[in-house]
Amino acid sequence: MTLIVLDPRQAPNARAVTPAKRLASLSKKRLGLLWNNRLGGEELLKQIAELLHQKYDLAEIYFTKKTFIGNPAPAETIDDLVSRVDAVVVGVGD
Amino acid sequence: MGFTSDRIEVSDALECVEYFYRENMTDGLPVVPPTEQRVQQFLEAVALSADAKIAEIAERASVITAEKLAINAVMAGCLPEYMPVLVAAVEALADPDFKFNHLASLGSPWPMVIVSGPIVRTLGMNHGMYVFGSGNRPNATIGRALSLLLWNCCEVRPDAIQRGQLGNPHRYSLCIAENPDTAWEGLNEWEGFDRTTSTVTVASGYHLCMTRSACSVPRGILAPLANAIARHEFEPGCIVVMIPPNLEALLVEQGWTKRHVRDFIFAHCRRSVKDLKEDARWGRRASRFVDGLKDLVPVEPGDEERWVYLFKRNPDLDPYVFPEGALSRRADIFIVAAGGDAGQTMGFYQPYEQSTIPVTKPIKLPRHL
Repeated sequence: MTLIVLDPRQAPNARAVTPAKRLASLSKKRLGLLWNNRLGGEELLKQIAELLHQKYDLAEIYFTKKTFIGNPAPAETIDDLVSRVDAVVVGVGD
Repeated sequence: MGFTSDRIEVSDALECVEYFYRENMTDGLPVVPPTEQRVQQFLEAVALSADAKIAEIAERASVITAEKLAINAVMAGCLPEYMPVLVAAVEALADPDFKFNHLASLGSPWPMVIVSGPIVRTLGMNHGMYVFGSGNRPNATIGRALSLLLWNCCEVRPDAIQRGQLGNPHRYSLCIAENPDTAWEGLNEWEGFDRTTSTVTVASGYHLCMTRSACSVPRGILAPLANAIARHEFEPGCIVVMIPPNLEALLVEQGWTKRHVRDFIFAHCRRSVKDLKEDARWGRRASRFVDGLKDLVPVEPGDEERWVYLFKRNPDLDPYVFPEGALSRRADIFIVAAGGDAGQTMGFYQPYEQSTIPVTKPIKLPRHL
C-alpha cells in the first residue's frame, strides 16, 4: 500500500536576459551612479566612484538616485542615464 | 486528471509528512498529504482545470496555476470551499500595486488577508473574539495556504529571497474576517464593491499593535488609537485598523461612520519636531539629510510646537522625515469591523508602507455555490 501525492513546488520560469555590451575599458568613460535612496548607500557609491576614478581616469561621474529602494527606477531615470553615461554602478543594499 | 506536478510515492501519510520536511516543502508544521483525488476536489470547487492560470507574479517569474494553488491549499488543511477566497487572494498578491518583491525586505513584512462580505458567514470565518488567534479552520488554513504557496512557488523562504532580519510570526498564517453584520460600510464597500460582493484584501505589514480606550465618546475612544499609530513607524501609508463591535456600537450611536473615524485619525496623527529629533527620526531616512549627521539632531527652541503630520502634508518639514517615495503613494485608513464584543481593545496592523499598498479583489463564486 502506497500513497501518491503531488509536488507543491514550482521553479521560476527561466527568462533570457541580454546584457548590455561590455566596455573594453573604463578609461575616459562617463560613469553613472544610481543610488537606491537607502541611508548610507550614497556614501558607499561615491567612495566606489572615487576608487574607480583613481584607477581608470574617468571622464565624468554622474550621480543620480531612485526615489525609493522598493520601486524600479522610472523610465525617465533610465533614459537620462543612457543619454549621459557609458556605464552605471547600481546595486541594492543596506 | 491532467496534473503536471511530479508524483511522489510514499508509504503512508506520516511518511508524506516526513518527506515534505526533508524536501523543505513545508513551513515547519506538518501538512495534509496532497493526493491527486483531494487536489481534484479542490479544483472542482472552483470549476477550474489544473492548468488554469490564476495569476502571474511577474517579479518572481512565476505563473500560479490552479493545480499548484490547490496542492498547497490541501497541504494547509483547507476545505475545498475555501478555494474561491484563495483564488482572489492570489490575484491580489500578483497585482502590481502589491509590489511583490517587498516581501524580501529586511523588515520582515507579511501580508494580512482580510475577508469581507457574505462569504464570511458561509464559510464560518471568525470575525469576533480572538479574531487574530487560533481555533478557526478557514481563518487559520486560508492564511497558511497562501504562506505555503509563496514558500513553494515564489521562493519566499528564508533560504531564498526572504531575508527578514528578525522574521515575522505572522508568516505562518494571517487571515481575519470582517463582521458581515457591521452597521458600518464593509471593507468590501470601502473598496468600491457592493455589500453583497465578498472580497479579499491583502495588506502588507509588520505586526499587530493593540491599544485600549477608557472612554465612551468618539474622540476619547479614538485618541489612544491615533496616538499609538503616530508613535509607531510614522510613515504615510495604508493602515488597517480593527474596531470591535462594542466600540463600533458606541461610535455608531453617536453618528460616527467609518469615514468619520478615518478623518479623525488623519487629523490627529502627528509628532512634534522635538519628539522626532529625540527619536532619531529627523533628517535620516528622509529625502533631505542633515549634513554631517552622526548623532541626534539638537533640539531648538520652538521645536515642541512644530508639528509633522502623518496624513497632512507640510512641504517645509516633510522632507526631513519622509522618503520621497512615501509621499506619492496612497495613504488611507482601512477600518475593519472585527473583534470580540467585550473590552476596550482596538488594533492596527503596522503597515509596510514603503512600496506596497493594499489590494482588494472580488471573490468569484462558481455557479453551483
